[in-house]
Amino acid sequence: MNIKFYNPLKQVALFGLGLFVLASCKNNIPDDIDSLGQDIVYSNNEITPILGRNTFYNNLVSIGQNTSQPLTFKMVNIRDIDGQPATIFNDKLPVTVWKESYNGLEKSIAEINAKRKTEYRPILEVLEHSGNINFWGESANAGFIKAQPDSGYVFDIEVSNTGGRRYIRNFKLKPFRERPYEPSIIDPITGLSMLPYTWPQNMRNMLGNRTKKPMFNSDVNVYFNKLESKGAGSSTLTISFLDSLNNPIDPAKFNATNWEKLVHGFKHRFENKKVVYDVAYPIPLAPIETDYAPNGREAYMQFKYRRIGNFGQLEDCYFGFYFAIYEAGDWEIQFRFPNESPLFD
Amino acid sequence: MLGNTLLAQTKMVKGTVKGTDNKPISGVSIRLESPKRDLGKSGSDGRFVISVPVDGVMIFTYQGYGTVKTKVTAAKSEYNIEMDSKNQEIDEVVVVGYQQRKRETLTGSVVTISGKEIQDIPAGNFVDLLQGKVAGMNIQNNTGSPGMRGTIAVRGISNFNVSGSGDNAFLTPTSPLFVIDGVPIDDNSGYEYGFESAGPGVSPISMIPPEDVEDITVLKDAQATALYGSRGAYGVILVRTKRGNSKVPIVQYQGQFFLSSVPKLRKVIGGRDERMLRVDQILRNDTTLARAFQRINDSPMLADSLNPYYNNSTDWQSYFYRNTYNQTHNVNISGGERVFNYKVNMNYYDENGIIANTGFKRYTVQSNMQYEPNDRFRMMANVNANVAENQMGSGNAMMQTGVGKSVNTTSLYPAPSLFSGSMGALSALSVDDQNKTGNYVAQVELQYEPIRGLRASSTFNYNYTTSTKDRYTPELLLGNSSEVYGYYDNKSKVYNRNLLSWVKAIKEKHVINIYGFTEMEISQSSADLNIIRGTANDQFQTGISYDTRRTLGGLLNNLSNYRSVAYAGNASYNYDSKYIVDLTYRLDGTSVTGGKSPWSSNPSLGFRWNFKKEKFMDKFDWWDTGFFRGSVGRTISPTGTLSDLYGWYKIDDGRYNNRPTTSLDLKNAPNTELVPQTTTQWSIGTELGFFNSALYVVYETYYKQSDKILRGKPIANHNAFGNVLTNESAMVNMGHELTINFRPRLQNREWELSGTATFAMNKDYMASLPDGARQLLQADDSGYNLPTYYRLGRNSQTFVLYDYKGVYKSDDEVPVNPLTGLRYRAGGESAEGKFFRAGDPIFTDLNGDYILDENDLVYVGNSQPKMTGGLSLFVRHKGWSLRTQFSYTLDRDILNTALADRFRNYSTPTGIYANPNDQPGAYVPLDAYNVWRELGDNADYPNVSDFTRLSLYNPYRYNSTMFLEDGSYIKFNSATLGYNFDRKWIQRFGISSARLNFTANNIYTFSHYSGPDPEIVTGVGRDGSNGYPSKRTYSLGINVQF
Repeated sequence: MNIKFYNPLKQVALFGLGLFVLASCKNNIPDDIDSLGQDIVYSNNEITPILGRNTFYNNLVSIGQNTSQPLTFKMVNIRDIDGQPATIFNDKLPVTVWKESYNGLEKSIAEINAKRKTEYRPILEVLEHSGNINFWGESANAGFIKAQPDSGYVFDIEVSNTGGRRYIRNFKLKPFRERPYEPSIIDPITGLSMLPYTWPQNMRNMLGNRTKKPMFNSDVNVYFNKLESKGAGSSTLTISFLDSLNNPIDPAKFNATNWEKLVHGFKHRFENKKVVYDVAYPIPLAPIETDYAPNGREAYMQFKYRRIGNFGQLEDCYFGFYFAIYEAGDWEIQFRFPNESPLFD
Repeated sequence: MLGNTLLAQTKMVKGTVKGTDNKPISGVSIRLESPKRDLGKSGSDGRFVISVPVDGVMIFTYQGYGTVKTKVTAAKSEYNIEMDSKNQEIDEVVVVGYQQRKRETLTGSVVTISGKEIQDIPAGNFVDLLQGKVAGMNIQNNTGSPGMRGTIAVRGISNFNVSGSGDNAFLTPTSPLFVIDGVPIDDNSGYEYGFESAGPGVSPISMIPPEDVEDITVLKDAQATALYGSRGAYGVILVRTKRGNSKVPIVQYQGQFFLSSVPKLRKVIGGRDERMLRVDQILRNDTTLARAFQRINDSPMLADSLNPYYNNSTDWQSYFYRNTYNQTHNVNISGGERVFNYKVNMNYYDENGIIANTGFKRYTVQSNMQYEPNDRFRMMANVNANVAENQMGSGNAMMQTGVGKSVNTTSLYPAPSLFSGSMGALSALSVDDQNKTGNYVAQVELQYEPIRGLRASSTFNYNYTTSTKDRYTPELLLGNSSEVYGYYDNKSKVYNRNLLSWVKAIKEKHVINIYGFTEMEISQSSADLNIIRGTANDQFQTGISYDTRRTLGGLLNNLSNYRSVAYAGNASYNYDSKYIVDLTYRLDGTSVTGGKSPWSSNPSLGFRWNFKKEKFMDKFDWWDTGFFRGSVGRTISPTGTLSDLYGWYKIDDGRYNNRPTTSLDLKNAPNTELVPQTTTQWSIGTELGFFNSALYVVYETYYKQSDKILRGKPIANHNAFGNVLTNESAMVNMGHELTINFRPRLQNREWELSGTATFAMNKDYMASLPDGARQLLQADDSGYNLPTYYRLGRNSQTFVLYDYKGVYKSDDEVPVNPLTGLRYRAGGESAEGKFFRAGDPIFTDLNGDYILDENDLVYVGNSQPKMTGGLSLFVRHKGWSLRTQFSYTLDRDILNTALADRFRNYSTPTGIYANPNDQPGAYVPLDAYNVWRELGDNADYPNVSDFTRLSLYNPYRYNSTMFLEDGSYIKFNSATLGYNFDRKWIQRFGISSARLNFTANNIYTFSHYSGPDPEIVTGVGRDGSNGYPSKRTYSLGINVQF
């Protein structure tokens, strides 16, 4: 081959290649990386959970049009109010988590427990991609967590994606003392209660035994008593009724009560004029509508009997009580009639 | 006038000019080389008899053929000339930047298409026919509406803004500038989709009959478009109409008769089958059996099955879609030669749309004449008068919403009639909708060369367009209140250009060409609309009504008044046609440029190196062309209006002295700093020709940056104004283009074969957003919930969707939140029905909160095609010829919202809606889709039947990747079989030539797309149910020349 042919040809090719390389520059085009705008906003910077129960803060974060998802959230720099690192939040405590979904149709304690397991988790968590905050307070108490009126703790949240990272600073964690049940009569800050009892929320058609006058829900006092444990793992709920002399009223008198579906408990039995259930705590188990918890947040018990009314018609007479119990153990709910007992017949 | 002294020895010579196919060529121009003198033209049989000085050189030139030079000798008096037709003409002359230039010296990117390639296909708009012919010009014929055109983008879209919402979201059009016979026409404003404007939406481009097009030149890069400055930023398409070019006047008739046929329509379940399917769906899916019976009994459509109103099996599609027979006729009379020539073209085009009550008619007269007594003076005049008439039924130019809705009606309802109450359908069929558009053009161009090399020319053009829309809706169809809708608009434009050019050759090798011009444009437009509700009766279709509350009238706020002035200059240096440098500079002033000065300066630079002309390349005799060219430059495109700059007063609701008051429109804050959008483009290309142009390859690569894109941004509400428009956005297009022409020289002259293949790759990137944001999510407030997403560095049109991963086979597969013990659910307020279960769609929970909401949206796909192109093939054997055109669009995504609509029709089996305007939809058979039916099914599509829950968890939401499909397609655009009658035989009938052709257009689309047509999608890639389907046409054409 003739070399002379090649050299100029090569130059032409090189020239063309050079132009091509010049044209392939992409310098002016920004990198395709995530955008992290100023528009990540937490709707609540001060979280005030109650110790002794798990609290999950959902929909806390609103993310605007200038920020790319998914984001990664991380809790950093947790400290107490004067800036000292709070190491307690590095510890992991046992908490109960769900493996399968609770639906209110479980047939035994074992079936419920098969759907749950115990895990060890730090008390305060930020969910990695949603930014929601979990307070795993189930095993926490005011003994080692500073509860109000203490100013509590301060922490920051680091938000990042491939576009960079930002810090949202000075979140406050100000937990309240334990309140093992609701409706609570305990002052959230002092942990003391002014009254030892509370009241049911509704009542209908009930008359007093003595006066034959209509009763109101303030005529029933509700006491939550935690009984001494009947042994390890014993988990029961006892329901009893007392008259004005603190003598027991036979629950059987509330003859129209649906004892089977009163609470999501099992093996209900009448012992010493009390009703006892084997139950799983907390009550209710999950924030879902079930036969036992019509609104999902609180369990509902209704005690009902029927009698012939003043005008000869059969009347449903009942009172109902919305409640929640967060602490496991053997609990008794006492309904006391301090003024007079209901008229059953 | 031919005052040159003739040499003593002249002689008469005669001969014939023939092409390589041995056919005579008429109208070949014959000149004398020195002194330059016009000798005449060949006749219709190719013969010529001229008087030539002995030893003079005759130059034969003809458009599309190589120039032939022959020396006249004293001995010979008969010359038979054979002219080679050429594919890519190096010697050819094109008009770029208002100045004739040899192709050989061009530094910009220029592609020319002969009008012959498109003339056998009947079309309301010739632009549709260019699909796939030019690498880098992406044409999507996304509406079949007669007379309307699809979208065009040269080298990608130049504006990413999306207006409208939901199914009607549209990309801001960035169509190229059309320059018709030297006069720019902006096709972007007012005609872009027709749906936005209240009027007929017929563009002046639709008024140009394809039969009258001589050729179309597409200018793509900065250097080529530089001198078109204002509005040249999106590319330029030059259209040249035919001229007279024959001593003997030619009368040419072209007629086509064509059948427009309806494409494949969708299958629908009809009559009893539909009723039983609805009943079955209720029985299987309702909460209890008792509730199901109650639901069925409450629905007259299901229970009252013997009632004639419900006992039907109506095929709704058959009432709206139809095959139509159409025709077009064109007569072209032309004649004259260089000194004086003329042309008159008359065209009649009548197309009835395949949707009932739609159609397009065109009546045009286009004429021009040219007078050129000598080389130094030339005058050209054009007069065009065009009238178009179209009907759009109850829809608009782009969408047929009324038809789309009516077609989607349950088959149980009776056929449309005045007594059955299906008013939507009836109004689509019987609304009297008449639209007329008139376009009148007058143009004069004068050229004069006072001194050799110095040429002055002046062009003056007046263009006036007026359109009216008259629609009468009878009272029966509109809730007992008739409506008279009257629309009138007018646009006018005065255009003037004065040009001075100077050419100087030094020592034959150095050629310097300098020219400068001024350009001026004054345009205005305004539109009036009157709506009168409630006339006395249906016979009074105008005038008086007492329903003043709903009677409206007045000037629409789209009126405009626009001025622009430009000064431009070009200097070009050419060394021996080897090295060429072009410098241009253009100073543009427009009335919509804000800031201190209305001027923006637009320089450009181009170079070309014809390396094949270098000595060292002489040895490759098989290699005939080779050059590099490159250019860089800036062009602008004025965006925005005067009111964007200075604000807008409106009549408000307030009263003063019982008169309406005027106040500032608070929607957009005035911004006096607005400037035009600019495009900066780098482009590099090479062209190589081999084997006597049998193979010709063009490769180009470019970088196009569109800056200062106008976009509104919301401002804080204490500003009183809602938004402000700014020029802060930018985007970039990059790509490669490749064109391969092949035209093998066949030994057998009876055969001819040629073809062109084009390939274009384009990628667009977002480069800047207002306020320095890296990302912007523009919410969509329609029920479709399809926001628009922009992110720097990413393609400009991205879908924002839920990530669909299949169907839950059983309840156990649904993930459970370990915190709460609850299953994954749809967003919003918690409700029993929102928890996902077997048969429900699996949408990825991106943020892991076990709630499906807007935080789980992903950014996927690209609605803009990555690769487009086409293939044209031409085969001829003796008188028979076959021309085919293919085009393709690859790697683009489409959201099939039409399919979503089909599934969603299953949401209300009872056919009872809360809103009385909602009608039960058609049931489409789902056999083709693997839909979940029972526990354990491994399905592709979730359960459609669980109607009591559907609205809660919305499995068939439009914004899910379930409906994101690959929208690539390869389309067999057209095939034309032509036959040229033998001239000798046909001349016996007094006809100089005759041709018959049979053409099929829009033949078949190869695609994996599950919808009807991957091309009938909006610019943002959504296939709604309301588009106008593309017709398939079969036409028989005849072309006779006398």
